[in-house]
Amino acid sequence: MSGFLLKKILSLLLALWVISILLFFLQRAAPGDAVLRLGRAFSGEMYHVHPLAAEAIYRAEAQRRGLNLPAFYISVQPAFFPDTLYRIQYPEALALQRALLLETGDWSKVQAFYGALTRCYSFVAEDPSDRESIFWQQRLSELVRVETLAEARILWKTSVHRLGRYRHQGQAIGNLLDQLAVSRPGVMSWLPTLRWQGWDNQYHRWFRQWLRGDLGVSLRDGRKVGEKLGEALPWTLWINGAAILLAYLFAFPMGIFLALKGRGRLGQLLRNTLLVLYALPSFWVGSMLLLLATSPELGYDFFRVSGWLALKQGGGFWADPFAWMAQLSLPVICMAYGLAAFLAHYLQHSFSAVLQEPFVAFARTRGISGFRLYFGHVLPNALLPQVVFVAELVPTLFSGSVIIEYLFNVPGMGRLLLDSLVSQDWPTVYSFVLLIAFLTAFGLLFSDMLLQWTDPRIRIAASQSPPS
Amino acid sequence: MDRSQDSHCRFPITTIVSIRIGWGLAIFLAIAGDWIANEKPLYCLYEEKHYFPILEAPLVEMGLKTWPAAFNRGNWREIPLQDAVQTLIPYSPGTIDRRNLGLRSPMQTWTSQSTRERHWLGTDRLGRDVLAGWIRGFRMALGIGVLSMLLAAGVGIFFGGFAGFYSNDRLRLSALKALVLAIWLAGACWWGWAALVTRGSSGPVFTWLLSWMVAGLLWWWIPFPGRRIAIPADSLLTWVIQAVDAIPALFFVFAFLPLFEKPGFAHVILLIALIRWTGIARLARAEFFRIRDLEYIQAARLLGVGPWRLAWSHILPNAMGSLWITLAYGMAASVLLEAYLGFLGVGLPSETVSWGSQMQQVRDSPSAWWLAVFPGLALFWMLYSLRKAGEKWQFNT
Repeated sequence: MSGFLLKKILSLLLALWVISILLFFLQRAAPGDAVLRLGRAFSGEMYHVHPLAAEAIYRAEAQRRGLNLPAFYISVQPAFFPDTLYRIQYPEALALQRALLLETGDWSKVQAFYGALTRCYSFVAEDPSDRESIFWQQRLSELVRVETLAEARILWKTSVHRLGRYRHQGQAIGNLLDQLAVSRPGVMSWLPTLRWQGWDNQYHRWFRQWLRGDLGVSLRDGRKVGEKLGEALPWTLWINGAAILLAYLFAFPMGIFLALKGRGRLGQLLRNTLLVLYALPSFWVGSMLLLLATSPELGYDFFRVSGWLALKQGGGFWADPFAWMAQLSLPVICMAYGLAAFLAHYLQHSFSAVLQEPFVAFARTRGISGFRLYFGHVLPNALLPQVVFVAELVPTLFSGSVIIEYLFNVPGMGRLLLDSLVSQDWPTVYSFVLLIAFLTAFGLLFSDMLLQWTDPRIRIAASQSPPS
Repeated sequence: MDRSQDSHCRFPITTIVSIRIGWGLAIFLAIAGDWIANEKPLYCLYEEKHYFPILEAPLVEMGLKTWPAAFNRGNWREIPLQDAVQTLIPYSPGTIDRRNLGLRSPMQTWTSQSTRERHWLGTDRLGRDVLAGWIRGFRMALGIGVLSMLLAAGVGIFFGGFAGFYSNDRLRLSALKALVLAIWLAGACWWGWAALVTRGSSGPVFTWLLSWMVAGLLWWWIPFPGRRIAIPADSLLTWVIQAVDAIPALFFVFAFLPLFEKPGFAHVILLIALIRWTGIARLARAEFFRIRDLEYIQAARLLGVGPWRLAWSHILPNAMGSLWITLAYGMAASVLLEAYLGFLGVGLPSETVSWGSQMQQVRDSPSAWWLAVFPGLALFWMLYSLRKAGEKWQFNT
């Protein structure tokens, strides 16, 4: 059994590792640029008008954040790509050189072209600003943003006659453009090349820091993601904890009652009610509750559904328990009722399935009384399948709390995730999703182990042959 | 499941009939919604010429037909049509009624001339007709639910069935052939990616891609000698399912959405299918595994039926019985996820009207009950009947 368990844990860890790689690359592919958003010394305006002038500042900022490292342990590129392409982090420079490289396949000339461009720009920028130098600064900035070689050549041809006193610097650019126009990547140079990029890379650093609990820095306000999550966590835990408790308190008696006495008209009605409750979308119920219970126009204002932070500043739960309960009740009810209906429905099925087992009939013939039979013998067996749900509660409740926290403005984890997504704060989004993936995966593993530990039948089956 | 439950799990005939009528209506509204709620008239006379704007609009959009420039300005109400036959509700889901801006309750007195122009279910914050949006909601929910489930069912049944049919020991390949296949797959990914990046600007890439595909076909038919090893198809699939299931559905969508510059209908369908196929694959795998050694399959094998035919026309029909249940539950989950995304304002463009986006407005203006009640009822009914149908199938088989 332990061998099987070890195999399972290893495959789980492998899956989580692959997920972390996937999330890392999704984060890289997400729009926006971390340096542009966070760099305090970096003037975004300057970047938009004169990308070439901003390059040096950008590079220093990127180096400080470790963005000058290769992205991953290995890289797969066409043969004509240099293995040091990752060293160009500046988005404009990378886009231009990559586009030209794909088109021409000649790295040394592309590099020389970009070098000539920047040299010419710095020469022009150092000149006293008259009409000519301003014109050329603008033209060179436009040239950096072209998407194809043909576009660059047209731009150059339409402005070359105005070179004036920059004729000497400009000539190098024109020559290189002409040389680039005739070269093409060869057929064989498109074959993929696999290169080892070393252990010290961006993914390695990111994942190592993540494992150590350093979830990165939020792009929104520059605060640590871990800190923000830590502030949001108690709200989600409180609401979810209360909801789970409430759901089980309701589901147990209801499920057992339905299994034992649910054959009549009342049982039928209750069963249908459970299905209705389960199908009612929680955010709709939440909206309706908001509508009915909190709008003064309708005459009632039982629950104050605003000012969560004010409540927290007013002291802990015991400072004003009634205010807390009034505030928490609506979100908790919204989270709990669907879960309660689902659990009751499921418990009823497993309970009545166990009632059909021969050992129950045997126990009855031995004269074991109702209470002892149901709670001492049937219930433990009926609870076994429920163990699986304990693990599935984690993802379900986190998803549910996104909606409910959004509706009720709770400053919890789900709300934080949604806000981060809308404001393109990728480190928060992806660190959080990775965290959820870990929690979900280990929850499932835990429930598997629990199930094996509690049910000898499964344990024996697992040790004999790997279950499907 | 146990038969003893049948007596009180049977559904009254009225429930089944009402479910059928409701679904008929829902499908009708989803398909014909444009003919019921539209700002364009069904027929109109403009400058002595006859037009059928609703019919002609798609043709004009595709550039196959032209119509007067006045029709393209957007506001149909301001075009001086000589004669017009309007649809039942003369508003499109996105039409902004300037006379009834802001939230207007259906109970309010209206600043409009005729009963036909009345907003029967009120208007939303932007002055859009709630009834027209409600009808559009059927198309959004059913479209996303059905299409994503179709996609998920295709993927899930294929991979799950493959893993269940071959499990870990029955797919035997020559080791050399397996190696060549693995290299070929990696190469196909590479050339596909290169073709995508260069977008056809480089000739050699497409030549490479094409010849790689042809070579793959050839390799498959060449018999390879050598020791045959078993491909652990089942373990591979189980591992992939485990990895996908580790990310809850909503978070999965959140993580992948930034990948698309302008996420739309198709992207949402794709993402929902990507997360929902695992449940179907799990069940398909178990069902194929159970059925593949039944006596009638063994008999078919002896008669020389090939594996594809065996899977498609002998195992799949048998497995469908329980797969329908998962499909019904899965579709309920997809519809709910779509409503979640609309409610959160994530994914679809912000001007899209769906039940979720209508209900979102209640959050800011809780007194607008008509924006919560009607879309919510439709969504609830859809989820309820899908789960009820799932339950019905579950206990009838």
